Amino acid sequence: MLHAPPGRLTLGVLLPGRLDYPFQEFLAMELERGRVDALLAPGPRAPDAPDPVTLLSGLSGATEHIGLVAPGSPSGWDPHRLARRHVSLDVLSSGRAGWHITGPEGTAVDETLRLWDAAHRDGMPGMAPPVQRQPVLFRTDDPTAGDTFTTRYADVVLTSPHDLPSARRRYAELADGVRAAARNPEHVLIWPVLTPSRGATPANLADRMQHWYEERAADGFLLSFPGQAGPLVDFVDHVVPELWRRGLFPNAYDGRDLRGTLGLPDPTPAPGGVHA
Amino acid sequence: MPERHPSAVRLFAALSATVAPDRPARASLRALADAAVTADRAGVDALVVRGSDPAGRPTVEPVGVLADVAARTVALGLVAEVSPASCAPDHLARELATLDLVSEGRAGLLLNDAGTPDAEAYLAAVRQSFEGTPEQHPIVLTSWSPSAADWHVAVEDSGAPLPRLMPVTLPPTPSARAEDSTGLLEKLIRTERPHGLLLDFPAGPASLEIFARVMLPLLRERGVLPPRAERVRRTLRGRLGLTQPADRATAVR
Repeated sequence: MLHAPPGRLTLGVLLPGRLDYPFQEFLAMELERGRVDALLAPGPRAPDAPDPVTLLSGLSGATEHIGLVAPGSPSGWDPHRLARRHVSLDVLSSGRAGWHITGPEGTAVDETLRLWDAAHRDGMPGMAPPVQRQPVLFRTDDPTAGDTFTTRYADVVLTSPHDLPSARRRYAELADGVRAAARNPEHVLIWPVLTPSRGATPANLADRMQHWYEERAADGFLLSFPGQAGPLVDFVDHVVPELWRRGLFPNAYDGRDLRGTLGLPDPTPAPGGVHA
Repeated sequence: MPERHPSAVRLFAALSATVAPDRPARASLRALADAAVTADRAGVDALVVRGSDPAGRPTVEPVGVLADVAARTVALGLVAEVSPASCAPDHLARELATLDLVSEGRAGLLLNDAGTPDAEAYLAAVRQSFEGTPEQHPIVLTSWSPSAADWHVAVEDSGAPLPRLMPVTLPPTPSARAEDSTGLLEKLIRTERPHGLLLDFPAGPASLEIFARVMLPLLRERGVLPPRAERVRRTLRGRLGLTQPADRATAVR
């Protein structure tokens, strides 16, 4: 953020909200073929929607490298139970877990992260130690919220700008907020949510992504393909190779955990919270 | 409870999802997953993953472990052992329903200490939460001890107790001694004629591997168990001959 662009673009994909599990597994493997950094499971909006952590635990058995990000609000959860679920996913996936914190913030987040940190450092009774010191934390930006939750905690911020100027403005505002929270802006990734339009060619889409990246409006993107698998597979088949060709995106995983894959350092404790 | 012919004995294998302190956690879980694949190929009916380790070693969430195993197996039932204090019933119901989705109908729950009023209320709450997931009906097993020396494990469906599984602990068995251990198991099956066995492997996945690769084939050769059936993808309900419940009224025992 407001520094020389990181070495490369980073990419995540939001899995469509479908209940057909074989379909989800197919999409996860396709995304891994395209060397996408992370997939985000859809949130449990309906009472009978799949539990994201369990869904991603299944996908951890079908994939080897791609990050697995579970949405969830800490509300209504015992922090110890919540920590254990996310730590389990991190262990099962060899360090590929992320947590997209949704809903209102609260002390449950701090407590959950404290338990994770303790499990990593000293071990916790009954809990296997996580691979990552902390899951990669995702948060959807809300410019109207007026709180500092995002800038204090998030490793990846998901934004929804209307155009390039507003994206650049918000990128700069978030950088200021991160500094004010005594964190290094270089350690936070900004991902605008991007839904590719049907008429865009692979080269046009790659042009747009490259332009936003070089203009400091984005460190990467969260791609959304609501509905069908076709556009997602087309993205892997045609757009990703274009990004490879331009040197913007790597064509192989380097075998590290999700933090390492995204170029994020381990968090260090901060006054009043887990983060620095 | 009417006794059954030994050839119809159901086999459930129980492991703890423990993490060895002297190697990466993933290696421990890979060994468990590999043993599950072996058990699946050998025709074991279901894998039970325990929520805690008797020796106090750190573990991983059973439902997550089983979801990971689901991707690698075809017919093996996937049963999570849960204690009522460990998880809110509505959360557990959603996790189990998702496991059932991920495994295409192979999920199950083993609820410990099921004889207490708290456990009955918990089970009722879990079943009530299943009401919101009409396509997923994980089977339920309950475990309880009427006395210090006697544990029962029963498969239940909509509150009606079905055949019991006899808990049996298999000590570590080097493959060279597997035939001796097989003989003991053969004697138990022929004498007790159980409906099923819940085989506990406290020594870990390696013991399950030996059971599936060596002991189980011997038991089949001796006619103690039926020949291995073709391994086809089917639900755990179908495998155990349980029908899909039409009425999800909560159970009171």
